[in-house]
Amino acid sequence: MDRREALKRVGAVMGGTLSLPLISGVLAGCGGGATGTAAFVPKTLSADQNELVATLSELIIPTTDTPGARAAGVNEFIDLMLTDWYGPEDRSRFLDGLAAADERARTAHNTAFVEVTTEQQIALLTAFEQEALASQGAGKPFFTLLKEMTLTGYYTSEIGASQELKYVHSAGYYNGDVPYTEVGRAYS
Amino acid sequence: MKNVNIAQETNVYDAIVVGSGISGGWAAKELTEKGLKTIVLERGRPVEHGVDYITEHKAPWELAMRGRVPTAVAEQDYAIQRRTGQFDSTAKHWFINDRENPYIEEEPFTWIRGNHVGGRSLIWGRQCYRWSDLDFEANLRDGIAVDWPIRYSDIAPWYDYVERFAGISGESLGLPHLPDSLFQPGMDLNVVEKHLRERVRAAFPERYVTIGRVAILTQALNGRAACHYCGPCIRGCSTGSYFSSQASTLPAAVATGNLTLRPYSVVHSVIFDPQTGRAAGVRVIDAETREAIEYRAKVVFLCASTLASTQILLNSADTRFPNGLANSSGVLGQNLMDHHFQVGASAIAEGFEDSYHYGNRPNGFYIPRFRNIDAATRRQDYVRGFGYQGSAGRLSWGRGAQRPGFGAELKQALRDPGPWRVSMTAFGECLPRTENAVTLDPTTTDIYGIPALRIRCTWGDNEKAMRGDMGASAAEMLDAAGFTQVSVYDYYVEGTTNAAPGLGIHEMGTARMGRDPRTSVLNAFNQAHDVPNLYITDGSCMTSAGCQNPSITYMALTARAVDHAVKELQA
Repeated sequence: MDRREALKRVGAVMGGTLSLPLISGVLAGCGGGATGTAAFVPKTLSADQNELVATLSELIIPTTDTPGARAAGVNEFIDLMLTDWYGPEDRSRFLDGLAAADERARTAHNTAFVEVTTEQQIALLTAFEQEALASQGAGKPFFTLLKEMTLTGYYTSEIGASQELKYVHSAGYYNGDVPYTEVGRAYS
Repeated sequence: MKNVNIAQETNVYDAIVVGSGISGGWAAKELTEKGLKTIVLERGRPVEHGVDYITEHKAPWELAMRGRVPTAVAEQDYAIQRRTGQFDSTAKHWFINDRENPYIEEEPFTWIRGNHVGGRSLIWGRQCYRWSDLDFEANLRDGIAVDWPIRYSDIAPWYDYVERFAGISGESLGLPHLPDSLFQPGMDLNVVEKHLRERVRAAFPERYVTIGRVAILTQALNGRAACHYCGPCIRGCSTGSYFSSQASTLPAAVATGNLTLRPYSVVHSVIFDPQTGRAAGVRVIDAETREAIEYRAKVVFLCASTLASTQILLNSADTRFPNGLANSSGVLGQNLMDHHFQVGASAIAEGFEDSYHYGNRPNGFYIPRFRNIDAATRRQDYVRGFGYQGSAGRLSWGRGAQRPGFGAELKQALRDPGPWRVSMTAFGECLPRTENAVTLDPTTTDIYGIPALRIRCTWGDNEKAMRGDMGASAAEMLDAAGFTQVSVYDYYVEGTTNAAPGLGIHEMGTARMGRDPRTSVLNAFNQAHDVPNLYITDGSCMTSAGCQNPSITYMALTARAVDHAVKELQA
């Protein structure tokens, strides 16, 4: 069973009162895939935020004929970046953005962001993008942080770098004029 | 007392070499091959070639945070080192801990240092360009600073000598002002770079676009393999395809049986013997035990790097040399130089979308100096000149951040590479000025108690005047090539660390060579005027800066100086 789906069902049965450690246990118990590797325990994100980040990243880089951001574990990369890379201001702006995403979903659709339809999620995220493009404030807006971290996390993951794009480890020689049709994909 | 004597006996060698980087490695090789029992004192940790290249060939997904160093670690321990674009988690272990080894910046100066066996030879840019008499005669011609005590003919055979062993790949051009090295075949220019080369030659007959001349093998040499084009040389190269002390000179020195290599040996000062007027040896602080130890030898080579060697001499002051050992001239510490760069232009090359590259070429193109090389190219607004380093390549997924939108359409768009982008940066000559100087700070010390350097260095009027031309000339070549979106950039912001001195990591001067002991520290053989068995062959010795990457010149000067030193010992 899809882990996200499984979580939803368990949460519904238990009235939405799953404790954080229990959710982590459930996540860990499903054998990986849905939000990256099985043993992942986020350091900065809560379990709910982690699921929201995985959902948002999958909207940026969805599964097509290759796996998307969720399978590539982009949420794990983002959690690490929020923990060890970004300073408190960027971290707060990002976490505030996550709260706003949920808030807007509840205002518009009466439920959490991860619960609304994909079309509704895209519409909500598009609004965030428009606001980011118009932003004049100091610091990167929430959407910009999300998109940059998703692209970096995805295209440097094994899936993004070697399935979606082409990863050449040790070429052995250099050729500065190869017909693109022979390569067929961008190098990661 | 008996123990002291025994200790002193075991600490006696024919030669001491301080530092194991490019210059120290060469000194070690040459001294040991000439039969001298030699100890190399390296302040940093040991590194075993290959085995200790812990990030070599790792895929991005195998690196925590995909190669980023945690911000708290970078801020606390690498506040200076992190200023270079080379500092990331794949190379962090090749950079010194700034907290433990502080210096004072009177003006912004970025001092990038290694702290391990092999030094910066593991992380250097590997670009190798010979100097010519355009450079060696420059100070004399312009009436600036002092004249070099050597000319091209003095060093040319030594360039030959070190190039045969180091292995330099590149293209011969026959330019008198940028003499050809003994080249292995050069790497390829890519399709866009070849286009640039043709258009630039047509529009500017005195300008050449050529493949970078690099100490990276394109053919096997002395058991080192040709480059396999994995890309990030800075992680270390277990096949020894690029020249480093680790891959090249130190193994040669070990093979003689005459080498003792002692890591964790922080040289405190040179011991001067007033009876003989010669250097008796050096004082070392063991970095692990903090024990003070003395080593003695017939000859001492300081190859600790430009500022570090000068720091040792300043810290070796005694009654005979109160302003620093070998400093009767008073110029020790002065005339610090670096190449000024991070100015140039970039553009988009349209019409090559059917072409791509294969392999990660650790090299780019080079445009040799074309200003102030003769009467026809004379500039009114500045002296000396600059060369360019650049490359062309297709953009990849990184452009997605600037592209609006998200979702399947974005993903599909990023599956193909973006347009070809061409970028070049100029490396400009910096004039020697007495006010660009280092001294010992009266209060700050490192964790070993050694006085920290106080560095004052700024770009002068000549450098600033040159920068406008460095950007404009790049743009006019990209225009001539028919490229679009040509854009000039200059990162320099006066008073900040942006493009400030030091970042070129070509720091030079502070113990210059010269003809007159009253105005220079070293003679034509890198021998201290004041202390005949003391040689300095790292960048400290440079009398002017040229605009070429300097390491190949340090190699040649070092081999030449050892030849001189050993002949003096045998005389």
